[in-house]
Order: sequence, then C-alpha cells, then structure tokens
Amino acid sequence: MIGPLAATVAAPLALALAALVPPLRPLARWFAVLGSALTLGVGAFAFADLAARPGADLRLVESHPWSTTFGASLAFGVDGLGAAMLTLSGLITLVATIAAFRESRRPHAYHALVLTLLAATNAVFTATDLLVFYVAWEALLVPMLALIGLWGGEQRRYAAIKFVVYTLAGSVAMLLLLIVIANTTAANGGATFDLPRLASMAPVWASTTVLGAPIARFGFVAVLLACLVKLPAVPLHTWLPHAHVQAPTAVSVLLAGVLLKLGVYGLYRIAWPLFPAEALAWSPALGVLGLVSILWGAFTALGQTDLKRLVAYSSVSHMGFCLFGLASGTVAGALGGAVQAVTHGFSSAALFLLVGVVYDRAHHRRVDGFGGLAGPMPRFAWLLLFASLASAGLPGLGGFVGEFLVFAGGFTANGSFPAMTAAATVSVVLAAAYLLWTVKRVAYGPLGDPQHGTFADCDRRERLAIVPLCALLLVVGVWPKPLVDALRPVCEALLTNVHGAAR
Amino acid sequence: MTAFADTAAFPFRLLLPETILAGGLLATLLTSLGKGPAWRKLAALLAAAAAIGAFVASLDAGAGAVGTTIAGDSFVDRTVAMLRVDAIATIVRPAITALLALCVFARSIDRDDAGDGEAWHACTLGIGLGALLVTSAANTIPMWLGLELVSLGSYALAAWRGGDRRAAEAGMKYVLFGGAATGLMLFGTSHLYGLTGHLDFAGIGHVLGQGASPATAAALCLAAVGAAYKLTVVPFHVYAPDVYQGAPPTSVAVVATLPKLAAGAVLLRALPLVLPANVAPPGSAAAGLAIVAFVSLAVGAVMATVQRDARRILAFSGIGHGGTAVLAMAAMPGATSGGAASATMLQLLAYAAAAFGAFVCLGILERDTNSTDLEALRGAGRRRPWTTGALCLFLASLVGIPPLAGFLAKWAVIATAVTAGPWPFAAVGALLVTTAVFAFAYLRIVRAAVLTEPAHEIPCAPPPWPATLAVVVAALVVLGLGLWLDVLAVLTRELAS
Repeated sequence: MIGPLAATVAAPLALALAALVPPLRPLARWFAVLGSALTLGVGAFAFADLAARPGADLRLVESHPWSTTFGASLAFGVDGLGAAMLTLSGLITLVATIAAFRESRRPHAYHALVLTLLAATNAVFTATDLLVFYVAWEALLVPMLALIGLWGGEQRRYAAIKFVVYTLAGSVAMLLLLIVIANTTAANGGATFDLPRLASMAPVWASTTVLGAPIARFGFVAVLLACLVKLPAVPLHTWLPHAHVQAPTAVSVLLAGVLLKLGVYGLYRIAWPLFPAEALAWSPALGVLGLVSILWGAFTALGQTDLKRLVAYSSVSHMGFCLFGLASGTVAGALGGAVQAVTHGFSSAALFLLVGVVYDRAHHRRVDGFGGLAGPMPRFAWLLLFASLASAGLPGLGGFVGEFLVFAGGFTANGSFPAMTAAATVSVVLAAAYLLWTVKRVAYGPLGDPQHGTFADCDRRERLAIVPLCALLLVVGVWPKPLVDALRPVCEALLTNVHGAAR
Repeated sequence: MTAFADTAAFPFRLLLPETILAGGLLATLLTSLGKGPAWRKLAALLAAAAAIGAFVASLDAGAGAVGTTIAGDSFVDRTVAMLRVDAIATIVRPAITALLALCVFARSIDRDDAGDGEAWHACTLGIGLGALLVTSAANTIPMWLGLELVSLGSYALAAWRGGDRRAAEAGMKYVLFGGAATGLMLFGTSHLYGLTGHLDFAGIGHVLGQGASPATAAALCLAAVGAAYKLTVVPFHVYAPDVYQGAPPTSVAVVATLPKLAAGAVLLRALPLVLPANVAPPGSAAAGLAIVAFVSLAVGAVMATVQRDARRILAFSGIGHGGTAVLAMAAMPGATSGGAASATMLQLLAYAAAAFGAFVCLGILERDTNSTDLEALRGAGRRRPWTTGALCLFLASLVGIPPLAGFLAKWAVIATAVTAGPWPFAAVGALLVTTAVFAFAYLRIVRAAVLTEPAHEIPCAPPPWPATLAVVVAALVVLGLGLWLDVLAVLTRELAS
C-alpha cells in the first residue's frame, strides 16, 4: 500500500476527480480543505519525526516501481527541507482554500484545480526520483494556467500565457539534462533517477562529456535556468508581477506561498547536490544575481502604486535572499535561505490575503486610493502592520531569522561576499520604507474615500486565514529553534558535499 | 515479372487485414445502391465492422513476406519481396486499423447534408487499405500503389463539402501538390531502377552499397518525395494548412493521421535497407534528414503562432511533428541499435493519437459555430467542458507536457538524435526551442476556447456516442503511452528483431 507521502500526492488527485463528479460538486471546497489538511498533517508528522531524531537522512521513505528501463520509480521521502516545504504547501493551500471558500464562479472546477496543483507541488517537494520531480514540475503548469487564466482579472489571459511560456521555456533545457542523465546512468551500471544515487555520482557528471563538454557544465545551467525562472531572479522575473496582479487573491497566495519556493527547492535538491563543483564555481555570479534581485525588487517595490505589484516586487527582493544565502557557500547562509523560503511563504501569503481584504471592499488596489482604514477596520490595520513588520524583518518576527542568517553567512563568506552583504543590508531599510510607507498610506491619515468609512472589518473567515500565518511568523521569530534544527543538518550536508567536491 | 510464385500458397492469414478492408470497401460501395438513412447507417456499420475486423486480424497476422520470382534477370532467378510484414508492420498495421475504426466512429459528428455517407466510408476504407499497403511495402511498386490509393481517397475527402469554396480549394491544392509529388516520386523511382536495376529496397541498397553517385543521391531524394509529402515535411508541406482548414473535420482526422503513420513506417523500413552505412559520405544522409527536420520545426513553429484558425495551427503542428519523426530517422543511417527506430515509431503513434483526438474535438466544437476560427471557439469551454478538456489534453500531449505520450516521444527522439552528429544536434536544439513556441501557439487555442467568455449563448446538444467513444479511446492512448515508460523498451526490442 502507499505510504503517507505518496498519499499527499494521490489523495489530492483523487479528491480533485471526486470534486468534478456532479453529485459531489457542492462538497468540492471541503475536499480542498481535506486534501490540504492531510498534507499539513503529514508534513507535521515528518517534522515531529525530525525533532525526535535530528539528521539529514530521508524520512517516510517509500518506493513503488514505475519503469525498469528508465530506472524510474515513484519514490518519495523528505528531509528537513522537504518536510518544511510540504508543511508549507499544506498550510498555504489550506489558507488559500479558506480565502476562496465563497468562490462563486464554478467552485467545483476551481477547487479541483487547486487540489491538482497541491498534488503536483507535493510531488515536487517529496519526490526522491528525478523523473517524478520533473513530471510534477511541468505538470503543475496546467492547473496554474487555468487558475490564473479563468479566475483572474482583466488581463488574465495575457498573464497566464506569459507565465506558462516563461516557465516552460525555462525548463526545456532540463529535459535535455534528464535524457543525458538517463543515457549516462544506463552506461554506468544501470539506469536510475534516484536522487541520492544521482548525487553520489557527482564525479561522473563532472568527468563524463557529451559533445565535448562535461555534463555538469551544462547540466547545472539547465537546472539553474529552470529554478531562476520559478524563483524568480532578476532578470527572469518579469512574468511575476503580471501573474500576481491578474491572479485572484487565493491564487496569488498559492503563487507566492508555494510556487516560488519550487525554484529554491530545485536549487537545494538538484543543482547543488548533483553539481557541487559547478555550484561553487558559479557562486560569485549567483551572489551578484541574488544581490541584484534583492535591491532591484526592493527599489521597484518602492515605486509601485498597485498593492499587489508592490507585494510581488517585495517577493522578488525576499526570494533574492534565498539565492544569495545559498550562493554564499556558508552553512548559515544556506540555512538562512531555507528559513527565508518558509517565512516568506507565511508573510507574503498574509500580505496578499490582506490586499485581498481591501480589494474585496474597494474593488481596486491603488495605494493612493486608500487612507485611514485603521478607523473603520482596526483589526485589518493591526494585521497589516504585523505582517508588514514581519516581512520587513523586524527582530522577533519571522522575516528576521532568515535575513539575519543570510547576512551572518554572507559576512563570513569568501571573496566579495562581505562587500555584497553590506550592500544587501540596504534592502532592510528599503523594505521597512516601502512596507511601512504603504501601511501609513493605506491604514492611517485621513480617509482616502469617504465611502471607505463604512467598510466592515476583517470577518471571521478572513481572520481564520490570516491570523494563523501571523501567529506562525511570531512563533518562528521568537522560537526559531525547531525550524532551524530541522533545516540545519540538510544545509550542513549540502555544503560539506559542495566544499568536499572542490578539494 | 510474373505473378505470385505460387498462388496456391497465397498467405491468406498474413494479408487478412488488407483482404477484410478490400471486402469492406466493396460492400460499403454496394450500399450506395440503396437510398435513405437506413442504408447510410448500414454503410457506417459495414465500415466499422471492416475496420475492427482488420484490426483484430492484424493482431494475429504473424510475420512473413509476399513476393514475386524474377526470371530472366541478369541475376539468377530470385524471389523479391513486394510486401513484408515485419516488426514495423506488425506494430503499425494494428495502429492504422484501430485509428481507421475510430475515424469511422468519429464520422458521426459530420453533418451529412449531401447524403453521401457511404461514399465517405468507402473512401476512408480505401485510404486505410492504401495505408496498410504502404506500411508493409518492401518494394517501390506497392509503395507507390499504396500511396496513390491513399491520395485518391484523400483528394475526395479533402473536397467533401460540396459547394464550399474552402473545401474546393483544399481539394484542388491537395490534388495539385499530390500530383506533383507523385510525379517526382515516380521520376526518382524510374531513375533508381535505371541506375541500380532494382525496384525493391533491399536490391537498391545492395547496389548502392557498392558505390553511390550524385545521380543516385538525387534519384533517392526524388523517390522519397512521396513519403515526405504524406509526412508534411518542408518543402512538401504547403498544402497541409489549407487542406486541414477546408476539409470537413473528420476528413482531416483521417488525412492528418493515417497517411503519416504509413509514410513513417515505410521510411523506417526503407532507410536502413536503401542507405547502408557505407553509402555516400558518412553522415550526409543524417545531415540531410536533420536539415529537413530543422526547417520543418522552424517553419511549423513560427507559422503556427500567427494563424487565426485552430485547424491551421494544428496543421503547422503536424509539420513540426513530421519534422520530429524525420529527426528520429536522422539518427538511423548506420546505427545498429533499435533506439532510433523505436523513437520514430513512438513519435508517429503519439502524434497520430493526439492529432486525431484534437481534430475530432475541434470537429465537435465546430458543430456549434460552423467554424474553427479562434474567434468562433470563444467560450467553448463553458459550452462543452469535457470536449474542451479533452482538446487541452491532446494539445498538452502535442507540446510534450509529461506524463503524456508526446512527452515520452519527444524524450525518445532527443535521446536518440542528440548524439547522432552536429546536424541532428542542431535539430534537437530546434526541437527544444520550438517547444516553447508551439506551446504559445497551442495556448492561443486554449486562450480562445477555455479562457475567453462566449460572446453569446449557443445551444448545443451532446456529441454522438461513437465520436465520444473515439475521443475517449484516443485520450486513454495518449495517457497510457505516456505513463507506460517501458513501451519504449518494448518497441526497441520488437524492432530490433
């Protein structure tokens, strides 16, 4: 029978199909709750296991045969990073489902697509087989296309197609890499896509040449390209603002909270373990790219007039920290990048939900069209302030942990990293500026529109979605130990491997 | 040449599928003597029965060859294979007959205004019969005969809508280009015969193996034109968009799939025989094929993005996919492994299933608005969610989204062609780049059909059950071929034997 991790893939798929059956359609949103709660539960279970027995090894391992000739199997397993991402995926999908609980336009199709997306992201986060990883990585474009393209705003079609073409173009090179890997493993003692085995074959990738170049050289670039588009890193980020602005609130939450993490996860899971020497060689350049993303995203966010675009560009800036931390080549940096991926999931989801709250009432998102909302909506104002401070990295809240670790790692790293880290600290000021300035313009001062005085405060459903995220930001900020303990062995093993390959 | 060496030993079981189709064709024609819907229904039933019968027979036909004994040749008396039911034919004949049956089922969506359904079915069975002949041809004569049989039926199918200007244009273009292609092919074949003294693939290859000249190379290229025309590769593709747009939907489903399977199969058989490794400068054949593939992919992708009609987009998709099949073949000359052959085979099968499904889905959608113009497809997803969903599935397979058949086929083609030399490598690059371009082109269909609200409500009835069945079967094939990764190993093993 299938184990818990395979169930996080199979159950959402089965629920998605069930949601389309006409008599069961009214239950679709409950199916989405069920699927995401199951994911959350399995993720929490894996976390408990990690807390009991710390280590970088894979937990909840299971494998089902798929193809003997390809050496592919439906193999799943999570380490600290995988467990964190799985939990995040379950939590954010649950929150997004609560946010979209009153979706009135074909709700059964909407929730079926969310469940399909959940199955695909869970497969990416838990697969220990590269082919399963890739299949899920590509297949999740389909529900995403439909969710943005069908339930989105005015220019949803343009945004959805841009998103799909961008990400598809980013990952075609990865297909070539997979084929080369299949051919090489078949010639080296049996075809396999087992990720731990592929990672142990790192010297083979570095020494085997295809068409005159080592596999590692183009393989790293292929994975990097696919991940940097998803991340997204400047200059491959231009699909993100469109997708966010056009997507409905709950899909923006999924996009920022889960999908951007796929890019980070791919770097940690594929690019660094399989091609450690290349990763080290590329690190300075990727550090620059991360720095550019951090600063570019922050500066651009400063100039945005649309609330969603503002949060989208802040995502570019915050995801830049993940890349920068990993590229620094220090355990602290890599750990910070991983923690940042998790806390950014919480804070960006909360911010998008809050933008959704005002959009629900005012039907626009122009920053200058608001003001003084703290009067009619005190709870909203408090939550907005809290999420903004957490996102800006106030000590004691979630965003601080990751950024601090990244800075700590960056200052102790080699080469130009200390200087770049110094430049990156500017973003803390910028983040405080664009976020708090936004809070001021939206929540304080005179009312932006006299009619806004009648706005209802966050209702129970909205609070049910937002408050847990804020609570988690506080928990991680005050007591980051469980998360850090779960992620540290993974990062240590990753960097030992990378630095070992250089010697 | 004499007739069959020994008529008493006519390999009945081997040729049973062809025999059943020929019988079904005659019986279907006879139904045109009667008038009225009952007779037309009878024609459809006969055609379906013949196709299914041929499918069953092809599963259990065994292997073998049918040939003639040549006397008074400069060689000693010898037997020359005309048709050869080898591993290729054993795989492709069931595929063609099954697809034929699905085409007959799918015909139920066409409005039969002229009341000439029985003739449509007769033509389609004729195309199927021709395709079977081409599929097992081991000699240029049955190959030419089979291609002509396919062409004659296709000309009629393309122009089926009487009085429709587009259909007339489609038929005319098909006839003109098809005639030219046939002529070129005959011309090349006659030169080959003159230069080598042989008409069968093995004999031609045997002589070419002793030394080739520019004249034989030119003759070979010309002889391949007929198959290239059916595969719609550049520069023999120009008819495809107009035919696919103008012909009735199910005619397109027939014309776009069956001939491609057959032409691919015969090329697969002929290439290793006619082009042994020592013919011509090494790598020149691979280079030539790869260039054809490269240009087909590039032209197909670029042109697909600017079309305004879904069927024209699919026509350029077919051009790209024909190029992809040729790219897999480029890895074949001189290769010993069955990898290239199985990649070609899988590419042909995956394309046929997905393209068939897509055209039938478009045909069902077209019933509501009488057009597959992107504007006319607006709101199709709201009107017919299941049909539109299936269309998206087929398009996803065509673009190569895992885990669908098109993905595995693309995988196989790249895996075999990437190490076949510089030109195939360049074509692999084109295949990867055009993936994103084709994705954009298909997304325009998805955008119109799924993401755009309808301009106004259009009443629609559910599609007839036979068409639904055909779409479901095609969808299952697309899913099954993609999930069953070991199919590649099975094909390789079968084709190597």
